[in-house]
Amino acid sequence: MTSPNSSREGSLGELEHIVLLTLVRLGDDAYGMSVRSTIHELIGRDISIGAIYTTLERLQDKGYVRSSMGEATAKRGGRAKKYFKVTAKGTKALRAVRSNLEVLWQGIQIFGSLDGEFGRI
Amino acid sequence: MSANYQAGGSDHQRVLGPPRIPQCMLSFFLPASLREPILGDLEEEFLLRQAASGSTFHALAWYWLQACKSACVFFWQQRGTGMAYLLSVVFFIAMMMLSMATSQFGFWLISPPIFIGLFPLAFIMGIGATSFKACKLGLKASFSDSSGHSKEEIALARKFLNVTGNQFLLVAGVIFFLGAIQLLVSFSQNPALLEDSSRYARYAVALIPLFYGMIFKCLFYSAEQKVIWKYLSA
Repeated sequence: MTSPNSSREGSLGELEHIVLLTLVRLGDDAYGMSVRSTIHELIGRDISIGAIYTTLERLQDKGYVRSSMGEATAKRGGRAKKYFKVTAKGTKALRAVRSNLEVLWQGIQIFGSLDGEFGRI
Repeated sequence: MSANYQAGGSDHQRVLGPPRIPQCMLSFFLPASLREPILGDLEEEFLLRQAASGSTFHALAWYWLQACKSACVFFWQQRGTGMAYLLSVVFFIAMMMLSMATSQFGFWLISPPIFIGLFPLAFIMGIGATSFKACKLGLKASFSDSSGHSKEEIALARKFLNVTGNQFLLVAGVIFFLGAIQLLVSFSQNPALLEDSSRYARYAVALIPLFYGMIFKCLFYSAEQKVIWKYLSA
């Protein structure tokens, strides 16, 4: 059976998925450092700034995000920020991943404690 | 410690700027388009961490860790094919040395006087025929993957690699003829040498410049192809 979201075009890697969701959450204040610290605060993953930017570049190449240069401030050593924003294509990809995951999670529950066994309802 | 103090405040309130060594390391590995935002982000968080924890040591440790991790991320992305080219050159030379070491003739192919006669001359002639800027661009483009070069820079780099590669072959040809003429003159002056079994070794030595010229032409040719491919895939 082929679902409407089975195309590889809408595929996202785990880090791409995390970064894209964080961009949506941050809105207009999404740049490298804010993305990194938000991910760390929310899910406790300490991702290097380099990995964040390579993921953002990859997402930009796929057309899921667009970037724009911001203001240069003294606390950044006179260097400008690079802001990122999710595009309509990126939003569509996120929706596709979410609906795919929801389909996959249907009928699955965790028995007992959180680290317990998985099983079908 | 490799960090720069920013002016102002007493000794207790002194604000330390980000360490210079990891900054330089990152500047080297980062692509030009990401240099400014990444270094700015790191500096911003470094100052925040310093202010929040009051510990410069922890902020410095964090900066170093981020710089090393990020440098690793960009190392293969930025320098990957440059490193692959360098490794292929090293592998090529290692294989040649191995074949010489295992042959019964030993390291007779290594001739420092011929190398010294050929390499600087051909290289300087290559720079002279193009420019010092073209030389720098050619060498840089051979060992890096940065796509920040303009069409003109790529053309200059390609020109240098092409001209210098050909210079190696031409200079090697000249040195070969010099050696061959010298050999023939020495045979004519001393006919006994023609009966000497070592005459074959003399012929072989006369061929070494051509061998070196071909090796360098081969290296410069592959570097030129790498630069062309970089331009086509940019």
